[in-house]
This record gives sequence, structure tokens and C-alpha cells, in this order.
Amino acid sequence: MTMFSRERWSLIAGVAAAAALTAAALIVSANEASAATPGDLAPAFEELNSAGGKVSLADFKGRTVVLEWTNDGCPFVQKHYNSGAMQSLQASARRDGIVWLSVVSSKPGSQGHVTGTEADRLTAERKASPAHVLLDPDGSMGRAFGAKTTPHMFVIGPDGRIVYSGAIDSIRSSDVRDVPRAVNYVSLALEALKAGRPPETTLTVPYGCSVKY
Amino acid sequence: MIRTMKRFLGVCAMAASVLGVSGGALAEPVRTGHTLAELISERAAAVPGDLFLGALRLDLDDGGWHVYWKNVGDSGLPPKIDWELPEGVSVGDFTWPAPHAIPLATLMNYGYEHQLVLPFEIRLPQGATPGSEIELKGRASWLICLETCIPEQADLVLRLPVAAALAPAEASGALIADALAAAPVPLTGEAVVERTDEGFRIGILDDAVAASAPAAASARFFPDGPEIVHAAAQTVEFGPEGLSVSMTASEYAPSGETPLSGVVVVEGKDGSRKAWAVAATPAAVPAGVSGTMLSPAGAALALLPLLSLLGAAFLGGLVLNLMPCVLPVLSIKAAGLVHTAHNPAEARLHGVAYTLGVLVCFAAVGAILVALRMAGEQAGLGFQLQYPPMVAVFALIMFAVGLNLLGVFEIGGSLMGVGGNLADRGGASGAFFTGLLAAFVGAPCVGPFMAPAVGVALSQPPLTVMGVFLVIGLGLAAPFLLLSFTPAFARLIPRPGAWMAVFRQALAFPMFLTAIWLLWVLGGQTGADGVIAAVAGATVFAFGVWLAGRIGEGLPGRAVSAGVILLAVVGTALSANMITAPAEAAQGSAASGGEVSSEPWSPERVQVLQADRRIIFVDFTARWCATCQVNKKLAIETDEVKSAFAEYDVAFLVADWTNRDSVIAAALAEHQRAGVPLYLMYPASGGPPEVLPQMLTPGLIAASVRKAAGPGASEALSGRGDKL
Repeated sequence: MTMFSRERWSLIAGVAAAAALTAAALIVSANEASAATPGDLAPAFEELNSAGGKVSLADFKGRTVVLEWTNDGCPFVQKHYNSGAMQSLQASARRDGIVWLSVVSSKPGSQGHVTGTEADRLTAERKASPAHVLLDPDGSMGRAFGAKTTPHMFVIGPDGRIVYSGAIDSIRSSDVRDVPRAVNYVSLALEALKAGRPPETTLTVPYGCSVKY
Repeated sequence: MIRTMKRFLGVCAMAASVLGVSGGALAEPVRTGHTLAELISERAAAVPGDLFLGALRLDLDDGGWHVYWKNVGDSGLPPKIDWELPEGVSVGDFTWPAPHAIPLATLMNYGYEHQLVLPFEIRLPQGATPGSEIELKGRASWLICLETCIPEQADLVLRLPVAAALAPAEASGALIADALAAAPVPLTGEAVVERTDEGFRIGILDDAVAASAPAAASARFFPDGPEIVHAAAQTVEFGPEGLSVSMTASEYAPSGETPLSGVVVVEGKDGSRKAWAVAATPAAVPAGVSGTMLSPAGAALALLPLLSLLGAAFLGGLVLNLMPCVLPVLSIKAAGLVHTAHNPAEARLHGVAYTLGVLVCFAAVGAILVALRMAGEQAGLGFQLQYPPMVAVFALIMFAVGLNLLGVFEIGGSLMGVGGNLADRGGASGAFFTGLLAAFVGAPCVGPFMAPAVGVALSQPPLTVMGVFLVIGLGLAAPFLLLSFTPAFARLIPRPGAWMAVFRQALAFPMFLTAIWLLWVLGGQTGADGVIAAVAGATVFAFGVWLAGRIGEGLPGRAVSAGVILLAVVGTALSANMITAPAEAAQGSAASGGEVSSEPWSPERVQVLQADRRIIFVDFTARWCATCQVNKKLAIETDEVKSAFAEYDVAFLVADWTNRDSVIAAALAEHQRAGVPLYLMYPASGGPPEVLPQMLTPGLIAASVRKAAGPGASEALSGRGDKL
């Protein structure tokens, strides 16, 4: 008799486990397409910076944060660094107390993947001034934000909500001569935040190389 | 060869222009890093006021290099030309051939491989003088990508004689006509779009579209804009009046009803493509465009292909029973069968319980795999054995099962989770547990039939994945289920007696061998320390069960011995988790294990070797993959293969997936595989590799090497210049 109940127990437990797992898979799949969009709370993240320290979004509560997805081998990233535009945007953000995080989501062995030392060397070479370069080789942070290209820019307001997501500027090209002609959406978003009003453009389609997940 | 010819033609054209040969339109092809670019015209000579077609022709390097459609998808840039035109000459916009979907990890691009011909209209002024020459100059720029992207540009010139009578340029005209034929045609019917929970459902009511249904293998909607998640699967249904496509909305989609425009491409089973330009207006999608699933876009899964996928999965599961990795566990099941053979009711119950055990394990493996992939992990089959703690605990379980079979201990009701006395007395829960175990070891074992089924399934919606996994489980369980329900089988088995105890004890040894195999896997992952930890755990475990036997039935004694056993299991898992040897060490040992000299695989290494025109054999393997080990011993490390490798200077690369590795997982996915083994033979001439079967023989490898060497070495040598 006891044996029979044990059999029952196994069968019921087995069926329940199968059902629960199937349901879990379906729930996960339903959430597949959620990317970080303006107005949403930015996904929390914790990644290592180039010095090996942990950096999380919670560290910057109450401050404006800029996320820049980058890959030093990508011609679209080179366009913005060779023109000096990215560096000057970083410097002005720094002066305004804005936290600039450059994020590298290239998987190991792919273009743009860097070690901490290489990241620091690149920062020095390019005279860039991000607060941190975050290393995201497993792409978890990139996927959480739905980062598609390098560059792909996000501005997070002091309340932790996404203020801007999209392209760095308005001319979709890899030609460095287009930089001064284009409207820089990140700089517009930061100016608007500074003036205490919402930016006019909050969402654009990013352009560039694919993030090397 | 083709590339060489292109170069030759290019040189001829240049030579002709240098020599001032006239009498035909002359273009000067320009070789850039990965492209041969040229302006072509359908006219060899044009007349004043002529309106005709020219085109930008881009011949791309093979091997996956691609350029982009006008909507690039998630990343990229379309080609363009900045013109410098003579007075009075005008040039129109490009006509874009229907794009192809080019998936990249979790992103999607729209574009073209091999060749792109982009036609445009050219209008000459009425006042052009016959006998003169018109020069169309333009700077073409395009982004060409493989994994990395390179912006290329070329200053192109098309010199066109103006004559009294026009003269066609046959070859260029044919290319342009092909490009126009590949462009979408306007829809004669109508298109509507409605919002759904996920995003959009577009309905295309058109007789020509409906007529394409019987021959359709797949269909996809390419939007003009960013409204959909490009990489998300599309669900396509055909109906008597046309087709419908369900898509996921992106963050760029406006909220509420909105029009949607783009191109729908129906790909036939014969590889032909038909494309229609679609401008859908918001309205409810009528019923006449649905009914027959064709899902998702890219991999055709009408009912019939889905059935054949499930059929392959079932066969795969069935064959799994013969794979080296499952055999030891099956021996437990065999013992159970022998015991219940003369009690039909019990036999049936056990058969069902065993099947359930297998199914639960496969459901769990499938669900976790789906979840991991949703979370962006590049997980594949066998992922459960890529975690050292799992391997360690699993080795411990095998050891425990072995001890149990030997009769060292009997499991009472207090140790619920492990089930009854496993093979002998142990009722249905024992059979259930055996099923779990068989599936757990069986799942990482990719055998024939199963590899393609799972590879295809993983690109499908979660429900299909679960279906395929459950059917594989059903296949694995089928033989025993059948035997349990066949009374005739019982007559073949001797009456129960003392021989059964002996039989059962003998079965302990395959279990110990399995434990040793798992320790070897663990050794590859964590080094000697991990193995020592697991063996120590096994000793503590043995002490625990011995203690249980000594202390007897009392509750405190039970508690103490259960505690010791728990300590063994948890301690083993924890220490295996903490000990992480450098992955390179594991790779190195796997690579040096063979007598055939090999080196670690990487996509970059393959590119370098391909550039050197070497034949490359890639062995995607893992220590926990028993099939891989059998192939290695019986096929790869044989004299026949060794001499073939030496004769043709074959580069032997090993991709060891014993530990998690997203680069290897991505490469497996590229070949629609979710697990190892996978064997690739890259030909000396460059280009895509031949995929060898999962079960290798020396003759098969040697034949593949000879095939990869090609008809002669001269062609390979002449192609080398291209890489300069």
C-alpha cells in the first residue's frame, strides 16, 4: 500500500515538473522581445570595469548615466573617435557630472573584445574619458538593453529611467565628414536633461556594426 | 575559378580602355578589399534622349561576405553612389532585388551574398551628339561584412558611346534583367495589417501569392522600416486567398494601428524566390489567408516538414539506445525487465514509469535549454555536463547505483528522492528513476537523425523545441515500453531464481565504468583536484551507507547516516564548483591526447588556413561525448586517416566543447547543430566545408580528404593572388 502511494507520488511529481518546466519556458519566451525603451526603468546591471572592479547601475543613483556600446575595430565607432566628437562629448559630460560608461559586449575572439589592460590602453590612445569601460564578454548587459550596434547609445536619467535610446547622430554613415553635419542626439538629450525638460527625440534606430555577441 | 575569370575580364576591360578601343560601353572594374565593383549598362551604344538601364555590380568574396539591402536590419549600411554627371544626364534610384535574411547571433541583417546588381535608370539629353562619348562618374561606397565590417569605396566610370542607332550589351543586359526579375513585383491584390499581442499580423490577399503556396518552402516579410524585431521568428500561414505573417513588434513600432510596408518573399522548395512589394493598411486580417502553417520564416515547417522533423527526432531517440553513452544505464533497465517479465501488470506499470522518467528528463533538458537560449546563452545539447558540479554529482550517483546493484545497501522509504531499490525489488519509482538517468546520460549524446532534428528545432518556437525533445524521449523509451507490453517476451526469459542476483551484481560494473568515464570528464574540466574531490565524496558516501547498515533501523541512526550521505553529495558538488582549472590546460590535454597532431580551433585560425589554401578538418568534440571518443579512436586515429592527412597536408583543428564556450556554440549553431560531434572538412579551394556524418569510418574521412583536395592543385594556386 505504501509502495503504491510512492509510485503515485513519483508520477504526479514527474508530470507536475514537466508541466512547470514547459510553462516556465513559455513565460521566458514571451518576454523575449523586451528591450530597454525610453520611459522604462533601465535594466539593472553589474559588470567588471577595465580595472577589474564591479560597477553597477545602483552605484550611480541620482546621476545621469550615458551608455556607449563600442568596438574599437568597427568603422562606425572609428568615425566618431577619429573625428574627436566622441571624446569631446565624453569630456563635456564629465564636466557636467554625468557618468559615461563605455560598454564592450564583443564575445571573446571577436572584433572589439578587449582585456582590461587593452581597454585602458585604447582609452589613453584615443584620449577618451569614460568614467568606466565595462567588459561584458558574455553579452548579458548588451542583451538586457537590447544593444544592437556599435555605437548604440543610451541615456539614463537621475530617476533611473531611460531618456534616450538609439543612434549617436542623424547621419547613418561611416564617413567621418558627416560628423559635423549631423545632429547629435546624445548631446541633445543631455542638454535637455540639464535644462530640466524631456528631450524631443527619445528613440531612434541605431546604426553601425552589429554587436559581436 | 570564377574569381580568376572575373579578374581576367577586368584586366581585359582595363587594357581595352587604355588602348582606346571604342565601339562599346566601357567600364573599369575596381578591385577593393573584398569586392570587384563595376558600373554596367544594358547599352553598348546609346542614342540621344535615350532612357535605359545601368547598374552597379558588386561581386563579393565568397564565404559569407555580404552587403546590405535598403533596410539593413539590425546593423549595416546600404550601398550608394555619389554621382558626378555630365550636363543633361540624369540617373534614377536603385531598384533593389529582394533581400535575403542573414542572421548573426541574436541579430538579423537583410542583404546579399556573392553578387549584387543594383539597376538604375539613365537618361541622356536630347542634344547629345552621335559619335561623342558620355562619361558617367560616381563614387560608389558600400559596407561589406563577414563578422567584421569594412567600408569600401571605388571611383567608378562608365564610358558610353552615343550613336545614331542603339546597340545592346548582351552580357550586362542579361545581368540587369536578372536583377530586375529578382526585384519585388507590385501586388495586384490587397494587403492589410492588424495589431496582435506580439506585434503585427499582415494579411496578403492575392491570387499569385496564394498560388505560390503548394511549392512554398518558406516565406518571410522584410519591412521597409524598423517596426518589427528583425531577428524574431515569423509565423507564416497560407490560405486559399493568400498568406499571413505574424511578427513581433520592435520598440520602434508606433503604438496603435499603423500601416506597414515591405517585401514578402516566398521561397520555393526548388530554391526559387518570388517577391511582392507590400503596402498594408490597417484592417482586420480575413480568414482566407490562414490555415496552413509555414513557420517560422526561414525554416519551412508546414505540417509535413514538422512531421518529418518529429520522425527524425523519434528515430534519433530510438538509435540513442545503441549509442555508447546510454548502454550502461540501459543495463539497469534490462535487469528490471528481467525481473518483471513474469508479472505482466507490473511490467506494464514499470514500462510506463520508465517512459515517464525519460520524458520528464527530456522535458527538463528542453525547457532549460530553451530558457538558457532565451537568456542569450549559447547553450546546446550536453550543456548539463559542462558544469563540473553536475558531472561530479552524476559520477557519485553512478557509483551509488553500482553499490546498490552489488547489494552493498538497499534504499528504504526514508530516502525518497532516489526511488526504491533500483533494479530489483524497486517498483515503479525505480523504473522512473532509471528513465531519468538514461535520458540524462543520453541527452548529450548526439547520434544520427537526432543532430539535424535538434539543430533545426532550436531555431523554432519553444513549443516545437519541447515537442522535438519529448519525441526523442519517446524514441529512447520506445523499445522498453514495447517489451513491457509484449507478453511473448516473457517466455524468452528464464524463471526467476538465484541467477538474477548474480545478473544484477554483474550489472554494477558498467555503472562503475560510467563513473570512471565521468571522472575523466571532470578531470578535463577541473584537473586532478576535482577528481580527487569526487573520489573523496564517493568514499564519504560509501562510509555513509556502511554506517546506515551498522546503526540499523533506529531514527537517530538513519538521520546520522543520511547526514553523512548528504555531506558527501553536497561536498562533492561544492568542491567541484570551486575547483576551476585553467580551460587552456583542458584544451591542451584534449588536443595532445591523439596521435594525429592537431591544434586548437578558432574561426580566425580557419580563415588563416583557408587563405593558405589548406584542407582543414575540424573536430567539434567534448570529453563527455562518448560518440566523439569512439569516432576518435576508431576512425580519426587510424593509419588510413593519418596517411591521408599527411599526403594532402590537412590541418587538423580540434574544437573542444567539454567546457562552456560561446564561440564553439555559435559555430555549431551556424551549421544548425546544437551539440557535438560535428565534423567539417574545408576544401583546399576555399568555400564552405563538407559536413561529415556523426558516425565516422576511416574510409569516409579519407574519401572526404581526397574530395576536398579538388581536381588539381593548379586551380588552388591560381586563386591565391585574390587574397593580396
